[in-house]
Amino acid sequence: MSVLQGKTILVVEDELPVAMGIEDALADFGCRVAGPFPTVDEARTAAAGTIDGAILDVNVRGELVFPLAEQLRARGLPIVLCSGYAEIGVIPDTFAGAPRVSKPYTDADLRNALEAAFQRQAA
Amino acid sequence: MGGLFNWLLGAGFAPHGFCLLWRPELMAAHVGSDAVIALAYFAIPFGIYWFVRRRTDLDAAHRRLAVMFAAFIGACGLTHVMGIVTLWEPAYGLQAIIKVWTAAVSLLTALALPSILPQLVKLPSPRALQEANARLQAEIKAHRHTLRELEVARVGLSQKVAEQTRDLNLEKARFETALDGSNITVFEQDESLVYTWVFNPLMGLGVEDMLGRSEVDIMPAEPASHIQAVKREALAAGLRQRTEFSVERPSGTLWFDLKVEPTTLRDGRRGVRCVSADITAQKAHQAHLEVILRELNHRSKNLLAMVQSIVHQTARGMDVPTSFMTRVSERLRALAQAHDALVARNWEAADLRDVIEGQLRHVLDLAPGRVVLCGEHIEIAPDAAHYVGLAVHELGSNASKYGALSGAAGRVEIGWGVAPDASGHPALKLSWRERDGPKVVAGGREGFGRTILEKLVPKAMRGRSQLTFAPDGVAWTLEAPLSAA
Repeated sequence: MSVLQGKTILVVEDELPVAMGIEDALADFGCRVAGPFPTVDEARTAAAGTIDGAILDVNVRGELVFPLAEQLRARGLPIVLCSGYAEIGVIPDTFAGAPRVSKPYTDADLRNALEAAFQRQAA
Repeated sequence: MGGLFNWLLGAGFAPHGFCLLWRPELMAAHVGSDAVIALAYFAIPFGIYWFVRRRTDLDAAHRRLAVMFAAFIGACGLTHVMGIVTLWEPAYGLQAIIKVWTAAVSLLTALALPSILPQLVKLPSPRALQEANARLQAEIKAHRHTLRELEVARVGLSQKVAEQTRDLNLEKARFETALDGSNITVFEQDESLVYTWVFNPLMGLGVEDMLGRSEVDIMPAEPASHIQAVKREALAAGLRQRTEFSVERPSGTLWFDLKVEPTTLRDGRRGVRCVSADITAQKAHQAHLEVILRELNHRSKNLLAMVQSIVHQTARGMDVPTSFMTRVSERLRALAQAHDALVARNWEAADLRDVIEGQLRHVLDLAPGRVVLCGEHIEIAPDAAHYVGLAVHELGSNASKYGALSGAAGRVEIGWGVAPDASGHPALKLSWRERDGPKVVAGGREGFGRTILEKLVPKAMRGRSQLTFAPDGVAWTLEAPLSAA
């Protein structure tokens, strides 16, 4: 059974079709979805609630997601960052090693990154 | 008294004529010759007197000698007069006195002569004077010639100075036209970095605000210390330096480009000549471009992600094979990856190696050492990057699924370079060669993959390609004019 089975994943993604794609993929992985939220602000309440991990788009509506990511990491939650190549320069060193998928990614890419994030957390 | 008079007049002696027996011829000879000699001897002192009166430049010694000669010759004249007198009157006493007097004067004159002779020898002769005069004349002529030459040189020089002054004024006018009202300041500072000359000051400063001061007096400590360090380095190394600095102002941050050149100042001291240009607008423009470029990258990547999601969502619930979705996703990703190589070079061009490695990252990681890349550094255009990326993706994907990288032993050699094509124009040549893979079976591949390699990519790049299915591995070559790459 996959490590992802039954997990609740927070999704922050501002492009709706992409967000829907993630929802579908997470459903395929056996996960539940919190969100998806198109802005950092809207995600805050859910981020403080009962979740097991998060998939965060680095740049949502021009806002960087790192303060929220920092908050989740403080809770010890596994995080996957989604980015276009252009955002690599803005990723702080503290998140340089975090599992990351580069847009456009396939469902398989997303599953690999998410599993890697959960394994790191377990290790 | 009568005795002396008798002695002088020779009373008791016979006159001298008596001794001559009054013979008329002897008397006449003695009287005649003595008279002529006496007259001549009396005339000479007058000649000397006349000469001495005329030659006022004679010095005292010469004058004295002249007087002595006059006295000596006059006295000789008197002795001859006495010779005539004593023919008839026996005044032998008087004659003796006159002779003694003449002897004394002669002796004194003779004694004075040695002391004055050397001086007389030195007196130049008229011929020597003439020669000296000729020399002087020649010298004067030469001096006059030199003076004329000097005058010609002076006129030439002042003309040259006038020309150079005109040129300098022209240069100055050009310099001022170029800089007046521009955002460029030119200035000089001495070794202690005190401003000694300023033209067209910036930041609302006047020339008088800067002269006699240094950076620390007119701007905040931070840029001032950085700038001064750069200038000291220029002075120490004797080399030109260049730097950028910013100054915080209530209106915002101002940026300057500063060029520093070690130089010798007008007064001969060492110093620096600097040019400072306000590049605030350029900086803002650059920053704005970077923001736009970042936004463009962000949006284009998002767009590809959206396309992928839409295709995915569309396929869902329809009878579409999973392999279709996988292929579409992979090709979209190949496009996105080629895009990354462009972002790295700000959309101006892409490094060919980056483009190829970007597409093969997956296989490079999975089969280390089995893919060999070999080629020079070539920059290709944005369009070419997308097409080359797509082609390499197809080849890599096939190699891992069916080709040399599907088994354990195969490998891939990728080479590229620039060489003249058939018409002599420089062309990009790229080759993909698989070796030691499973036995290749031609055909039976997905149609669009071959279309990409054999038609789409060569056509888009105005070149030619060849796909061959050699028994030990697939080979693909691309040749395209560098102008299209």
